[in-house]
Amino acid sequence: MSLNPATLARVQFAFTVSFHIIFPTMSIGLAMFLAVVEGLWLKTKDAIYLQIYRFWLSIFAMGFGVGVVTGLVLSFEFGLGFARFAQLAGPAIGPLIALEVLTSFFLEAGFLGIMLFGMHRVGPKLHYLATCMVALGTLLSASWILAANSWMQTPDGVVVKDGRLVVTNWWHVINNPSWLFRLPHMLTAAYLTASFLVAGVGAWYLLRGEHLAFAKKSVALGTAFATILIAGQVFIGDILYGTMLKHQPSKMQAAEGFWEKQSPSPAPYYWIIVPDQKRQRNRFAFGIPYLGSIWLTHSLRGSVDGLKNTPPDRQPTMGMVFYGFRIMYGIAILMFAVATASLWLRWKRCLFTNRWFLRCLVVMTPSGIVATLGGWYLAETGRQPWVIFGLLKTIDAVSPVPAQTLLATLIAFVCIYAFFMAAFLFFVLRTIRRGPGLSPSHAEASGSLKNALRPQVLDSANANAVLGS
Amino acid sequence: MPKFLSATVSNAFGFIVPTMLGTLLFFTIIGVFGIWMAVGGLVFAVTLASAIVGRLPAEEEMR
Amino acid sequence: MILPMISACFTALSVTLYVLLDGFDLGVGALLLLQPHERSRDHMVDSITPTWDGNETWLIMTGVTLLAAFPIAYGILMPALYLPIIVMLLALGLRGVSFEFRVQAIQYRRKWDLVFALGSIVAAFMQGLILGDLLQGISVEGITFNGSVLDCFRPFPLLCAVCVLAGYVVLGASWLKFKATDQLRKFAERTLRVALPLFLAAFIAVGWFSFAVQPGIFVAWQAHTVVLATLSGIMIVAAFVIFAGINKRPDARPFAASLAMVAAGIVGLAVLVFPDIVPFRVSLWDASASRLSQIFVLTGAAFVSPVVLGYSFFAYWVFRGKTPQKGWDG
Repeated sequence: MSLNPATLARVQFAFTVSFHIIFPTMSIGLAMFLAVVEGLWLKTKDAIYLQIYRFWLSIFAMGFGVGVVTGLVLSFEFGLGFARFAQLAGPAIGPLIALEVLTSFFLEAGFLGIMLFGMHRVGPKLHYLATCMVALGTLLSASWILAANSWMQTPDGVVVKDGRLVVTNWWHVINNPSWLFRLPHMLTAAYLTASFLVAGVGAWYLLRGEHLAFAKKSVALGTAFATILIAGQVFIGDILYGTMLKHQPSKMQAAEGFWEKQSPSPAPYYWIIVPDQKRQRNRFAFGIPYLGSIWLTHSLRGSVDGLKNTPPDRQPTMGMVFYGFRIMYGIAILMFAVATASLWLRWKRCLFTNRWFLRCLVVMTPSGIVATLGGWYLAETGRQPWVIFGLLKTIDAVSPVPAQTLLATLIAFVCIYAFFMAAFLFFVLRTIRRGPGLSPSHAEASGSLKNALRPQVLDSANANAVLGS
Repeated sequence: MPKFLSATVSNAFGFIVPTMLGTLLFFTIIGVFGIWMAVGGLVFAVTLASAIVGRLPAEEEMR
Repeated sequence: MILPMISACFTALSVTLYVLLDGFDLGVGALLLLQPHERSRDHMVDSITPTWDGNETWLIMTGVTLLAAFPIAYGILMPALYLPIIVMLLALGLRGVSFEFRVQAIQYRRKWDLVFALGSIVAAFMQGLILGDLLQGISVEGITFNGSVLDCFRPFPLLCAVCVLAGYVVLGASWLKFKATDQLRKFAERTLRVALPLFLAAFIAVGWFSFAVQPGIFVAWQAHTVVLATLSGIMIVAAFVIFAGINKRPDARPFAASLAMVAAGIVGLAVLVFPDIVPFRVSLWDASASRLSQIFVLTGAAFVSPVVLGYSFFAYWVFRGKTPQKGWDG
């Protein structure tokens, strides 16, 4: 990797956005989970749901905070590293991001205070509304941001006039060819992430024999949601695959690891390759025979298009695209397996006692995050060498900032973000170690409106009294 | 001896059957047998999951 | 023709709200370094805890409005101000995170206070640096920045940085006088007595030297003499009101006056710079996006901003009055 500005700008953006995406993914998922759990509490009056709610509320609050801080950086970073891209794409994606801030961000900030805290102040029904509004806010945020990113992948609704982009049709900009396929895929990924987080923590407690009621309910809820979601996710994923095959063939060609214009027939499904981009071939490839044809062409002997179908100056780097895809897909398969296992264990009435399964759940706790990252690497490195597919190449989009400066700030970002992550993990792990019920609402202790609308710590006894009144 | 064997067989059966069913379901949902089978597979999977999750207690004691 | 004007007004509104709302937050943070008593420091942070996180949203709004409505300007300003913007973002990030974490970790609270204070000071300093660099003029060729990333570390921008930091300290100290009681209020009053003259001295110095480094400012004064003179007058009157009210009641008066003083300053800057969006380099119309983009943003802004402002005022109203001594716990 050379020390040139284009590469450094890409690495810096890749680092900050990869770090950032971890947190909104958790926030979107946990917000919805919290809405469901609070709804269950209101409906069943079972205090276990309140306990689950308060436990994940504090983790949600911390993750939300880090997400906001790292998101603030991104809103400027388009211009910092890629000024030419910002100048060209601003008219199209600028308003989308502006609307994201205006509608969702402010919606979340508005209701977050009441959600994190005002149970005692505003009454259970209004509080539930606040939780739902926050979940809605995160969903809307995702929609706008996905619209902007999808526009970069499959641009529409613009013409180029005098070197500037003019929007001709806003509906086409927003509802570009890939948006409505990528949006449910990302949302489901977020919900799956939360499901495995919840199930994993529950499994951890079960293995240690602690907080049994909380743990059982967590594993039950987490695996239930994960099962239904993963079925939908692989379905959506396949549809999305077909869409991207049509609109970004170069990405999908790189994603499967085949170089020749037509792969051998029947085609294997590669799991490990050592690609040589310069010589346009794989130095090593390992795969499962026939499976490539079956999965990719839905036939026994179909042939798959290889990357040589794209001229070399428009090819993405195969290694990153391939492994991003395999990591995401591999984890999806594991999730599906876990889901199947969970259904079987339920049938056998031993969901909470099979220790191998519980250990699997613990290992799979961060699986949603890793899969989401893999998917985003597929999406973004597969779009290269374009930053706006077909319109602007990444190397033409870079800011006039010298390489040493980019390197210095990259190092600064890595150090400070490492600090954020360390602090976040420290507190999350401490929350988990302390267990549910004991931690006084940490969310209530942290900044802002949340902190001030302070009720007393609500335990089951006066919670039910509040509900009853 | 036969009792021990049947326990192993029963465990193996307990492992193989869901694995094969799950694999078949997976292939169906990702569209190997066509889009309509995929939709059908998805509907089946969600219905089955909902039924099992909704109606069966996950452990021996009653909920 | 008029759309870029309206977008510029919205951008200016966004900047103003950010400076006024986050200004005293950063000022209070900076003052933490001067406060030796732990309990008082807790009290200081408590005073801004309830409402701080909505304020930064206006900073994001400013950046994103620039991207949407004035992408050419955005693409010039970001690389030109690369270092101060990144340092500011990291400082704000550290400050934001230390808000959340200082409460969680009681034994490390003092260390977090230091992070909080330094983050606030560095962020304020960077904002002043950006302002000064823009006033002095950045190097532009066509629509591309062609200077060096180190250009912002010239003497005039550094002077502006001191001025802005002092201004935020004035805002922060007058906020503390408004919100605190007894010892902390006395601390605020003492600080205000030093900070206000410092700020005024720095401000006059900035004004004086601005004529030397930026000929465009002289031209602007000639073109808008009455408006600028009036705004300067407002600032002077406000400064008097603050000074006169330092030791007296009502406690809110110095804060209200300092808000007015800073707001007048911002409006003055906008007038000085008009009609450019990259000051003295690129005009609003040269930098703006096409009609549909402007309309999209402004429509959204028109509907949502009142709601946001309403919520924000509500939040401040809920926390009206003095910050409780024991903090917001129980």
